Amino acid sequence: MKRNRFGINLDQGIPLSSDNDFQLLYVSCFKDTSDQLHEWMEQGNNSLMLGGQIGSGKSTLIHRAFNNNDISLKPDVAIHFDRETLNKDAGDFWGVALAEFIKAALVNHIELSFSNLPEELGGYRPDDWNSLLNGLRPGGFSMEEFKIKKELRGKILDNRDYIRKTAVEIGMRLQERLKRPFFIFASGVDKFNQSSPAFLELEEVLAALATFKTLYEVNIIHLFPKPGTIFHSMERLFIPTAQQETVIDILTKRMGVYSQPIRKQLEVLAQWSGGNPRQAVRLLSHFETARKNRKRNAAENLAFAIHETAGDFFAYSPKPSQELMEFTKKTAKMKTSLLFLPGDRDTAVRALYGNWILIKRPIDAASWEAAVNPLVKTAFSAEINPEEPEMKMLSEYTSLYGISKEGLDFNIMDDKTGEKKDGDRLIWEYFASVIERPLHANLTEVLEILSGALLSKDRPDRVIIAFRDPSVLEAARAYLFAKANSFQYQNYRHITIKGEKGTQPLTALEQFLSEETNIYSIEFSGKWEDEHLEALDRQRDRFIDFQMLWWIPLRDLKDYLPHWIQLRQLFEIFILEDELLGSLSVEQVEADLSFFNDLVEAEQSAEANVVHNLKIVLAYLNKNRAVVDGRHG
Amino acid sequence: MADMDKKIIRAYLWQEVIRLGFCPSGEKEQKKWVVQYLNSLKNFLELHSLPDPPGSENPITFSYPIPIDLDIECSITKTDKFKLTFLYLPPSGKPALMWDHDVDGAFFTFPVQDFLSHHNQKKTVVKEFSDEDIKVVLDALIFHPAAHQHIGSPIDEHEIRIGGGIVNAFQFLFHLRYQFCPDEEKRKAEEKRLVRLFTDAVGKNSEVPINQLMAQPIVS
Repeated sequence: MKRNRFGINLDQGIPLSSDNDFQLLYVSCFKDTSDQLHEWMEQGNNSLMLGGQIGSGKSTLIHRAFNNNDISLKPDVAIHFDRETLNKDAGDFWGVALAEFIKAALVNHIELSFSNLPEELGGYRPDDWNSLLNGLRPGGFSMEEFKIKKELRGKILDNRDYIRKTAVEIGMRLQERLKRPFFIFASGVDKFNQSSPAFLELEEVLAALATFKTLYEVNIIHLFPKPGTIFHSMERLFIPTAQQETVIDILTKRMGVYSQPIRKQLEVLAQWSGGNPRQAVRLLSHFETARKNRKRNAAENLAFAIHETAGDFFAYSPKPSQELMEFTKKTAKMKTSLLFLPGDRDTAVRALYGNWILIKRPIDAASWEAAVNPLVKTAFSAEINPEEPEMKMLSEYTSLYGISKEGLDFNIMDDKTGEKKDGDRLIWEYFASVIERPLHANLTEVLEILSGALLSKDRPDRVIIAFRDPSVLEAARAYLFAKANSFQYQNYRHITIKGEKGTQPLTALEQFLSEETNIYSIEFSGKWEDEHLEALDRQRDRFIDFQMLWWIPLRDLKDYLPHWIQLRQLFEIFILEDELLGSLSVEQVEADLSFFNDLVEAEQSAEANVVHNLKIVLAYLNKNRAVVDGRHG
Repeated sequence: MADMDKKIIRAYLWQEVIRLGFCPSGEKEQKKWVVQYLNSLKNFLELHSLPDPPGSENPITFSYPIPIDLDIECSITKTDKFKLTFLYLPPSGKPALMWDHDVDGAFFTFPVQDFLSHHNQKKTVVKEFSDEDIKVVLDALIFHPAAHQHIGSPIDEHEIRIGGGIVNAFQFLFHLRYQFCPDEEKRKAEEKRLVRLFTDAVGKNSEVPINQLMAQPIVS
């Protein structure tokens, strides 16, 4: 991702990975964990689980550890279990792992004549490991290649024990050649909910990798495996929440030279992050959007940022139990035993995996210091406590500058009494509403929030736009495509993917993403099955490099979001108002059209794209205005 | 001819730089200039997002934010008829401070161009000018106008110099791009880039293409 040298660097909270990323934006958050990881990388022989909650900074910490010049400290093999379309059974997971083992063996010139696997699996020459590798992991996408991959994985599933033995033998030979432990990085395990069928299938592959020196990237819930499994006795490292000062440093770096005027506001945002770095960056991103639009004062900008971030991460999410949240709030603790007790396990896993509760640090083997995520406190208490630290900081702003109906678009009067509500109550209602009933946005409001990414090719963000009325979609899409081309030539492609039973929506998606374009627009039709939704959730990081607009019927989105705990971390979510006429005027679109019409010089140009799409919008508006005028005439 | 006086050379260059870089002719070219200018701001000032595109036909009207709680609003009727508003937006949300730079070319200004035409020395200038001459002229037009105002409280940024007496809308906008850049290295790189660009343009008597004028300097 392109980064600014001295100015603002915001994104949806993707992990830092390049040298430039680290030089500009990295803040050392977890020194103890980082030191222990380094020590293990240098001296460890056995496997290690590195776990943290979503957005806690696992991937950044791992990239940082690998981002050094000492080649012996880099993994020999990195297996990304979360980046495959076909990730539903052990055949798929073994296929991914085997491909990496074969690749490493070929690079290191390992003697593989002990096995005829190429012939046995794919009918290639017995020593043609390159063809087997290409079959397992084709470079591009074609239906033919996809069919071969699927067939190979089917055979792997049927012979999984044989494959395990072969893979382990290749690993042993690599270890012998390297004259040190064979270092594997098992990436993306954290995207698998422990109780999902896919995780049960993955588990046997993960267990086999423990034969070697494997670093597992896991969620906090994986740090407490069932007794009797190989993971139960494995060494583990935990990433806690970051300190308030550290989060302020992260946000300050993100704002570059422009941080100084908003130093105080950064402190408020850091408090509302709960110490979760991604949550902090998302809050800042929404705050900056609010500032740019200059409709609000500082208090309203902060409230808007908190509200939008809560909507992105929690709207329509199934909540953990009230009792658990109240217990955590009261005691500031979470008992690890909850993860094992049949009655409590589901809600405890939901609370931790979904970031409803944030873990600060382990106290002892039986408990953690924990806190309710500040973004969701309003969902569990009828009254806001003005003494909560994050509310206290925000209240200073609301009492200083006030909040208005215009700024936050809510009802400032009590419906029953007709009296003006006080600031704390307004804020409480505003935040509480977003979890259950996210506010709808009109198209220009959607564009305001999206413009940071959509208008520029430098920043690939992803967005889900839910809708009720499909008849507005073509015009809404055309409007966004037009705006995306205001400054730069941006290609776009649109596809409708059907997800009903018997369809292969993920294959269609993979094929679509293999096409070259700048903006990928996808409409979800039919009712997607849970299996496909969960597979999408696990592939979250695969979408990091894509600028995507997903159009989903609102009635379906409510069913889909509970499956997308991971995915929604890297998406922003909007619910589009049905009426485009409310936010777009014919006169405004005509003026835009007239402005850009003059500038068109070539068919394949930004200006031509603007004009083409604005004409679609204008035709829609004219047609609908005629209908409205007819009704009123 | 004896060596020409440096001041005369620079007076000619002053006019040439404005003519070749900041006089897009006709409405279409002016619109293109503004679109590319706005597009360049995100990378030049390293902002969070691009400004909103201009949206109306005539006059060309647009605005963009500078993340020091400042908003710039601009309306260009002609090259020498425009209004630029600086709007300081305090955290209270009230637009407390507003300051217009208003230019109306219908009023008399000193006719420098006419005097220079009478001299008829442009050919000699083109033979004799140096990089240093261009640098001095660009200093006066863009980097450090002789008459300028600083933004003091509540935005204490002494390096920001808002040039006085600038009657060309496009020159004024372009000088703001430089002035609002808070990075010293980037400013230096931009100075070098523009000296090269205008040395070349004056030497060849060719207009500076908009995309080259708006390009980003390379900071090592």
